[in-house]
Amino acid sequence: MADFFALLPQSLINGLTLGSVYALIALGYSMVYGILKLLNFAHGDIYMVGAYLGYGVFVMASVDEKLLLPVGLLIFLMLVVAMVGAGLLSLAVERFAYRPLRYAPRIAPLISALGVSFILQNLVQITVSPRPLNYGSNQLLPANNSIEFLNVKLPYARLLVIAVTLILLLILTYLVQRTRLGRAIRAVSIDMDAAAMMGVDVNRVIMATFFIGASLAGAAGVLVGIAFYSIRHTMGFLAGLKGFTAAVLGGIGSIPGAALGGLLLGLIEALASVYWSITFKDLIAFVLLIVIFLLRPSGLLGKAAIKKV
Amino acid sequence: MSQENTESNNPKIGHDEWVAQVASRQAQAYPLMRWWHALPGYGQWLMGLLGLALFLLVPIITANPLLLASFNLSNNNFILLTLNRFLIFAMLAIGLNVVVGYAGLLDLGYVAFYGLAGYFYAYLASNFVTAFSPNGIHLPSLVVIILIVAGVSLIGYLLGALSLRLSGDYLAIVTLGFGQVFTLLALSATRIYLPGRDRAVDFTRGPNGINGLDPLNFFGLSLNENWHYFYFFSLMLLLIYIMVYRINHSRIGRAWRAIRDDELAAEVMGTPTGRLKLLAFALGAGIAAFAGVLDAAWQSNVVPVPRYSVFTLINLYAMIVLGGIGSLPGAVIGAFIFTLLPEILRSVALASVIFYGLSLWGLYIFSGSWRRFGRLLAFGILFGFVLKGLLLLLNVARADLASSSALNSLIQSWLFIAEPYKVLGNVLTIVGILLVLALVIWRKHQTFSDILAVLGLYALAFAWETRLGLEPAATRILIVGLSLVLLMIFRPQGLLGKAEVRVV
Amino acid sequence: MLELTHLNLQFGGLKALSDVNFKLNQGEILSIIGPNGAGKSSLLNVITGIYKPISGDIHFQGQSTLKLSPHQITRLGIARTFQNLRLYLNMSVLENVMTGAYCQSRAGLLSTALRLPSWRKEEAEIRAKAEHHLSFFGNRLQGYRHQQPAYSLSYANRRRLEIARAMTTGASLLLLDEPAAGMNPHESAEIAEVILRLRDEGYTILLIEHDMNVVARASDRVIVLDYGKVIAQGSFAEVTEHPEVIAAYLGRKAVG
Repeated sequence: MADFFALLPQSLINGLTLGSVYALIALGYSMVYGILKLLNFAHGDIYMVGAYLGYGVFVMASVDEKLLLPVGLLIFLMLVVAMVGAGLLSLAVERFAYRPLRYAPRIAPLISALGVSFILQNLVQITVSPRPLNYGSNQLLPANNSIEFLNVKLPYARLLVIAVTLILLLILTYLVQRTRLGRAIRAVSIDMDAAAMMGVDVNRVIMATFFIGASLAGAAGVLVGIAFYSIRHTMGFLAGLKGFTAAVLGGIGSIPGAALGGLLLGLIEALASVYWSITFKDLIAFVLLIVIFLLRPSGLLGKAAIKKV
Repeated sequence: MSQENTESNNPKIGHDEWVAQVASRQAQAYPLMRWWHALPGYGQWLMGLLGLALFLLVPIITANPLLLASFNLSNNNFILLTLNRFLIFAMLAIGLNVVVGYAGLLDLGYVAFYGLAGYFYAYLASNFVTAFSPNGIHLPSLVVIILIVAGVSLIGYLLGALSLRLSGDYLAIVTLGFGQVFTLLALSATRIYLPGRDRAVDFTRGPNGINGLDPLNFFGLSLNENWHYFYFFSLMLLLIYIMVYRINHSRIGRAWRAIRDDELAAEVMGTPTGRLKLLAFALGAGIAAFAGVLDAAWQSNVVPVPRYSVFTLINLYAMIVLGGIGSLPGAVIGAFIFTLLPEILRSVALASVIFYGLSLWGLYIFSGSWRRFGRLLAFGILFGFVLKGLLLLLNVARADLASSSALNSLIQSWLFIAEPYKVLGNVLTIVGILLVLALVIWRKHQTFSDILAVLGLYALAFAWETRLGLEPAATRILIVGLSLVLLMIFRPQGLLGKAEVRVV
Repeated sequence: MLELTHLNLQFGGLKALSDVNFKLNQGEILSIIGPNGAGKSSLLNVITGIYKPISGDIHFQGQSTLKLSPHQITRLGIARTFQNLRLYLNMSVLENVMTGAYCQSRAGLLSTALRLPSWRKEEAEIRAKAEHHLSFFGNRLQGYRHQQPAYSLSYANRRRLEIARAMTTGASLLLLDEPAAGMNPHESAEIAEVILRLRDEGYTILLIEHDMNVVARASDRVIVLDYGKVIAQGSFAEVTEHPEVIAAYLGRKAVG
């Protein structure tokens, strides 16, 4: 029992870190699904590209193991580049791979998304490297740089992930709840055709949604690189599935649901890998997914749809 | 051309029957389709039988030493391996087609049934399970096949019963979850503590999988050579094909397609939709299990990743989507293309021929006429040489690149490959893909798209010579990805599928 | 033949049907009319088992249908058409009708895969039955139309196809949900004839219709629904004289 309490704070921190990343990815999944009813399987790879863009900035700003910029500024710059880059990339994906298929059978955009996922992964493999890239743990927020709080070690890198996620979530909430664009997004997600007839520029709203969702994923990519020191061109797949699970967990299409689902999934995974078995960490995510769905088909915060005859 | 024929080719606008046949006329827009439809019924049968006979003769033809020598091969094993893999994938694609194409259930856990059957085969026909006898269990194949197909169908039925009250995307998500659970278990169930035993039990041997599975054996005859399996698999594929064809053209198949089109209407018109969906699920699972047993016995091993992972699932979906969802011959053709294409792309020289061939074909399709095609090609060649002259005048440094074939050196003499060619190649790879997609989107703007086409041609050639051709593994998947996107844009119904109509 | 007793249906707080009682006799054509939102379509959905009532009972030929699922109710002998047309658009006209025979046939996987004689016989019967029911509409759905996909049909033909599909289920009671909606006057008149001919073929018919010409022409008896309640019943002439019916259609004030 002593062990239990000794390990608890650390695994909570781990869970929150992991959960933040899942939440950021899940938001993009959920927003796009809310509007287009499209399972954007390329989303995980957009997150991966975000991680590589951030790494690119990091490489350019460091010469011989030394940074040319202060750490705070560098991280900010990495985040901005990754978010804008991932956002623009997703605009291209939307324009080329999804928009021509908006009125095609349901499976067409799904297959197209798989195609995009293949393209992005292998483009990165060809143009960058097939091997994992390492930040080198000493350069950017090293693991043992931490503050102690009530005898618990809080590494800066983990705190950074949680803090950035919180800030992004606040900005997103403001954007969706309080701005004209947010209102348009909510309107389109309820009824695209009606919104279009009421004068909402649907294409612009969809592009904005893709951009916002992808930039959150891009940020998640950078944060993962900083917190776990290593990135790889195949990292998008499993992360995408997890983000997707998180989105479903919270009720797909719901923004607070996606955030909650992400955090929950992260916490459950972290706790399970400490108290049960680290090999079954990934398994838990999917078992959870199945159980939640069978018990509550519309997710934790989702609303059940009404059947029309 | 007879009088009657010319008449039937003239448009009869406003004429009920003529307007009604628009779909069948559209289907004949392609020369190959027209030729096929022009054949009389017995002619189509004859061509089919001829094709089948030719296919069955492949092992004999390719065993010819003269032929092998001319391709620098010592035996035809490689060809048989590829064909056997095609046969397995064709069975799997047909099974998936039952679930997705006929009943319209988006099942993303389908490979789990294939994998489960593989592992069950390992338990029942190898040295792996030593609980009952130190030499393992070695049941005869007939018994194993019946046991496993029945067992996995039952599992499919039960999983279906659990998840069928979900519909559409949610069903997809849950089945994806099932598939992932299977793969992860196969990877990690190596140390499971069972009650009543003090030592951990290894169920799967993790990522390495289980080796040394028995070959198939029937009544004392065992299949040991690749060509044995080739004929056995061909026969089995034929049987499965006929079975699924017959079921599809019966009240069950009609009910499935009715459910796919309008589930509520089907239920109200007296179709037990729940039971029929479960039947589709179980039948699909059974076919996957059958293919799984045959495959495990032939390869003599089971390996969780990539064979039983999402990668195979995506491959299968690509196959049935390419062939046309809901089309039985489409599933087989899709499996054929997607098993052979990657093998062909392995050889750089051959891949180059295919790449440039496809690029020119794409350019022709895009141009719409030989005139425009010729003009664009001429402009493209001219652009290359003008650019080259310009850069030579400016004394830009050139890279020295080895070319692997005559075609490559020809193309390279047209390009100006500057230093640093790797970086340029990377950039132009991305630019080339964007240009292709931009061409597709803005194909209606004549001048603009002409410029894009010329630039795209150059960028693609440059990218191929400097990067893509040198990274065959990644390029293979890149091309598959790109063709999936393009296929969805141009022909979402696939090669042989029918365009679907949905009420919005 | 069909008897509804004290039927109540509720969506959340909204009462869609309240205390509906009526009886439908063998060989009768009963029309249900009422303003939009009166609960007519909900009534059909309850009878066919899509919605479950909160109280009351439905008996078809003496058997309660409340615990049955829609396909079991159809098997008992109740088939319907849909107001907003629910055909299998991507299947051929003939196949659409043939699907109706599912609940009447029994070939299993094995006999289908082996094409046993029993399967061949049954399949031929289904086809003959479907062709027979399509011929009910004269040459409208004949010849080359058999192989056409349903999506290529005109609106009126889709309505006819729905009726043919309902007939193929072997039902004795047909529920027709606005069969004349979206048709021109000429086609509506024809639908009225079709309904009468269906009765001559031995079907009992429950008709929901807005086109009063069709109702007047075809029905033996009319029930008027308003706000989920039966406000009048009787012959067409009787109910149209009924003050509550006039009020329901024209608004309360008009009657004073």
